[in-house]
Amino acid sequence: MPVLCLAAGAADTERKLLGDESDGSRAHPLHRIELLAAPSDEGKDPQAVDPNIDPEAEVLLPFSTRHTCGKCHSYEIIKKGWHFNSVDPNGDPGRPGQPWLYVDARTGTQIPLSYRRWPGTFRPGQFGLTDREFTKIFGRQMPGGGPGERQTQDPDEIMRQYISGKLDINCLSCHNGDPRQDQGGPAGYAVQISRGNFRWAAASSSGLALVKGSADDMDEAYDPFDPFAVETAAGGRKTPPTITYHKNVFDHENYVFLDILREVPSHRCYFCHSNLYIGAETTEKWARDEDVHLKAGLTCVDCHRHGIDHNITRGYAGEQETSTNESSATSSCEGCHLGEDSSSDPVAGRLGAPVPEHRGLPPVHFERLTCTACHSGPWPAAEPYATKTSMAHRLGTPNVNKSREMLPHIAAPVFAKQADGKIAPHKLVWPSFWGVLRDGQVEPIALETVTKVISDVLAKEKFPFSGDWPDLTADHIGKGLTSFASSGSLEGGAVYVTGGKLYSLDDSGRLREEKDHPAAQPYLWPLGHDVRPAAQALGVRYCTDCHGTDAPFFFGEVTIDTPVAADRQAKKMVEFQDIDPFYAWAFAFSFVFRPWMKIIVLGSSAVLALVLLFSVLKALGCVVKVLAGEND
Amino acid sequence: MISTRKRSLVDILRILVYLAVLLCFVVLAVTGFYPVLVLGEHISGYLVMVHATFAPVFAVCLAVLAVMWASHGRFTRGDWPWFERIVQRVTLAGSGHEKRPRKSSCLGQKITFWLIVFLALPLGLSIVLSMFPLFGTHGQELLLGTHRYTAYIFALIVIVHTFLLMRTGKK
Repeated sequence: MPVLCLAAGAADTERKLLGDESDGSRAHPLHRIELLAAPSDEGKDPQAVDPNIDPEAEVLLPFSTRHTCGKCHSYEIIKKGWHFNSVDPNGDPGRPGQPWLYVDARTGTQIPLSYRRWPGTFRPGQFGLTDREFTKIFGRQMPGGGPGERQTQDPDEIMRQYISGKLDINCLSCHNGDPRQDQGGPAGYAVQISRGNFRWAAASSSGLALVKGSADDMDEAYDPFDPFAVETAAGGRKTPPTITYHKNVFDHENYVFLDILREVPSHRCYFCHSNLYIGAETTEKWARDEDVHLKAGLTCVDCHRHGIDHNITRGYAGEQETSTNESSATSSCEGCHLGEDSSSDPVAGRLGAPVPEHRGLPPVHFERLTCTACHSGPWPAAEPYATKTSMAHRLGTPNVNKSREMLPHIAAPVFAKQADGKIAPHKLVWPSFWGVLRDGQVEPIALETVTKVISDVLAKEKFPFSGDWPDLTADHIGKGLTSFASSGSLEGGAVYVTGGKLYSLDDSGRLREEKDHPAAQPYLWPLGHDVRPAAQALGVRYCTDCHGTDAPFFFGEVTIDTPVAADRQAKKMVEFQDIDPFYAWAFAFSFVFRPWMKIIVLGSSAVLALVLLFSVLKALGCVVKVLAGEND
Repeated sequence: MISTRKRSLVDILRILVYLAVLLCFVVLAVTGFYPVLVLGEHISGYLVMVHATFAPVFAVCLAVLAVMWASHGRFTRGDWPWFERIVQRVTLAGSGHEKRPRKSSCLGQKITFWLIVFLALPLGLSIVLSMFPLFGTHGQELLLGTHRYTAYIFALIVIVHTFLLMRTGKK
């Protein structure tokens, strides 16, 4: 029997659908369902997918997760979840997280973008990217929804959105247990996004079908719902997007079996959330251990939980102050390992989490450091590791440039003070972009304009195959700024932000540089994983793991990343911690004498104890004499 | 405890050590109490470095002082009347035949001296033991609390001891 679903519109958020609320069974519900395709007109009802249609009379459409899954799970509730709500102006941005990094070595651009209001990031619109353009670039590692399904207001893009379709939330990206789920394969989700096949992306990656062709290749008059248009386009040079469902996917009633997993397997998370720390020797993932929690048998979703609202816990301390997720307080490191102070019931040790003893660690560390400072990320080295992430370097997708130097250049771990005043390990990126200075604020110049102007300026430069920066000079920047000024298209003075500096032209046309401009500050976001075992926590050997005069925690050298070769200097880690470098050094130096201090105080205490003991014994002797009647 | 006879080298050394202890005590008290009692925060920054620098000097000098002054701090028969008098005053119980105590007895100084020697042990050990991987977080907090509250009492007793010493010296 197919799963019974209440016949209610997915938009009807008042009424709970069958899958909105669990009846309490921990067993996995069977998903033998019919696939529903989105209609050409949003006002119409979705239509069931029938692989046996006459292709001359109808177009075989990809199933839509919005309609297929949304029949039993309220789509409008789900889309408010963390992974999909970045474009919601009322959404809580929470702690700064990983931005989307747009990079282009040919224009000297490396800019953090985000729809969330994270200080230091720019909204894609500020950079001249429409939702569609943004989705085409970054949708590869998004689970759909968000900007991908927002109705375009741009007249130039209305027809393109009609052809591509909207990028529904791809429930299967995370919840499909089918090993054929293909996020990064040659015909998988990422490739479909890059081809503009938003409507087809979920179906193509589901393992149920194969999609060929590209919506982007079609002209704006193309109608993907018109069988004649599809047939005509198929006969042309460029292939329209078409879907072919695999044999045996549909049963005799045209239902399909979907292996839906309520608890998302970790390897699904990894597609978007992998990190590669490239050390001097160990460059491959097998050379490093995974997070200790995974090795202990947990999965990502054991800690990062949510209900139907998909309001997932991010797992940082203090999240409960803004999150409505009831498990946010007990899903942080402290919440799970130590328990929540305000809880009436004991909640420490959830999922077998050991209660840490922290023997010999002065409690002040808990006020100054996050748990992750000592326990997360790779063991700090003299310089932070060149770091690649799935979202930044499109790991796991076809034709990835695997060179160490490939942009964007992310450094980690960088121990920096975060908003709550605690030092935490961060990933760091130095923004580089062309912008306009207005009233002291820097706005990035639209990508299209930058590409047009700067590509000419740097046309004769050599760009490394590794994907690294070219070696730019002040002369290049001067020419670029002059080109922007002469173009007359900017309202305000053109500037180039890179390597912590803001370059601009003075009144006489000479290049001027300003250090420490707020717009030129690096963007940092805290890292939580991979968590190392306690035996590999900072300080496990001795205090000098951090309080050494050359310990990376304070004195690691963070290279300033910039295409301007002359500006590639380094900053000490302590400069990101709001701590006087001399104090940090002097305090670290004092640990040279710490063993002596211990010996001296212990020795002095022994002498004091002996004096006391001797005197007490002597006094006791007197008392004994008195009691014995020897009154002398 | 302060004699009026001509001071020997040992006496001078004893006084110097005492002055060193006093100086260290002042530095430790200021660096230790100022952030906690005035600023309402934990000792940190340069203050903790100064505190930790003077602490071992203080410990050594105190040990030397204890060795040098232990015999002077010995309780004698002459202290008994003073002790009785203190007990009677505290308990308001008169025996009816109070002996007039000898003026040379310095019971207050002796008691405070031995209290200082005694309290120096938990004061120093509490912080040194916290530097070894012996105690967990709760143990660490207990040790810090021990250090803090011992320091309060220790400071009061040092002040009283110094006051008594100065009063005797003036007389």
